[in-house]
Amino acid sequence: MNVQFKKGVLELCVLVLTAKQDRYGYELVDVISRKFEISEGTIYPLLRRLTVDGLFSTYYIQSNVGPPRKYYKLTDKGKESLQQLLGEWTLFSEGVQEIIEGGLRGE
Amino acid sequence: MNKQKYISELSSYLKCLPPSEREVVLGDYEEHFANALYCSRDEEEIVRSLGTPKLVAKEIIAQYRLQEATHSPTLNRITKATLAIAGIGIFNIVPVLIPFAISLLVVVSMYVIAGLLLASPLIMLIQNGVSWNLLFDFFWILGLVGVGLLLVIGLNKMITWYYNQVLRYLRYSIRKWGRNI
Repeated sequence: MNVQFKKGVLELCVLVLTAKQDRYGYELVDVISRKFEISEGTIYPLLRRLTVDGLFSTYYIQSNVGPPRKYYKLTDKGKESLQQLLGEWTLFSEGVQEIIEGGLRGE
Repeated sequence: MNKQKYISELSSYLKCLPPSEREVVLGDYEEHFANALYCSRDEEEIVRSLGTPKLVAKEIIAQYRLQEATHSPTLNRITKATLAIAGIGIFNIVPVLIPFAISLLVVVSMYVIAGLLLASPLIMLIQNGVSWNLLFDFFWILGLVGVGLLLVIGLNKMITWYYNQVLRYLRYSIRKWGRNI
């Protein structure tokens, strides 16, 4: 997939995936890379940036079965940021979709 | 390359970060390996899909430098951040470095002009020596120094705005050209 497409939406994907449940880094990598190919190492600097910027808070959970995991929880600031990005994305994708449909119909 | 080699290589590339920051970063990658291995993935394959330690490190360092500069902007920090972001890839050098270099040149030359205006009495003194001329030029010199002072005050106010613009552009750059997806 086009690299510029992915760059634009990676942050949105990470934020939206944590909207309803806290997730750990590998889980995010796993869910996203099932949908489109990413260089897996790229998620962690992104998560780090969002954490330092105050969009995520983190906590560790020791698991009985798997390895200990750092969970990312969306803060109020993170939720605001998600809403804003989501709004922008919806507007943008609807616009593109209309152009595509119009273009294919030959309008 | 195996896990151990990957982590130790990444660690050596990240030597320029403060130890606490490096520990957090390396912890994330250790955790990634632990989880991926737990999902019975092959070590070599995990390494391949992470991207090379060098590239990953470059991006982490650039991100860190940008955070540092955003947190407390100084010329030194902003220059470091710019260089780090320009260094991520060969295609970054021109779009990241050139605008910074040119704008910095403009700002610096304005400071130089202000400095010359402030030093104008001295310069005239050296050039003409003490003479009637100097008294004659008194108001003229007063004007020059005044303009110099105003320019310095204006520049000091503007510099914060300038730093913010540079940082905005750097954030844009790292989004557009930074991520090694």
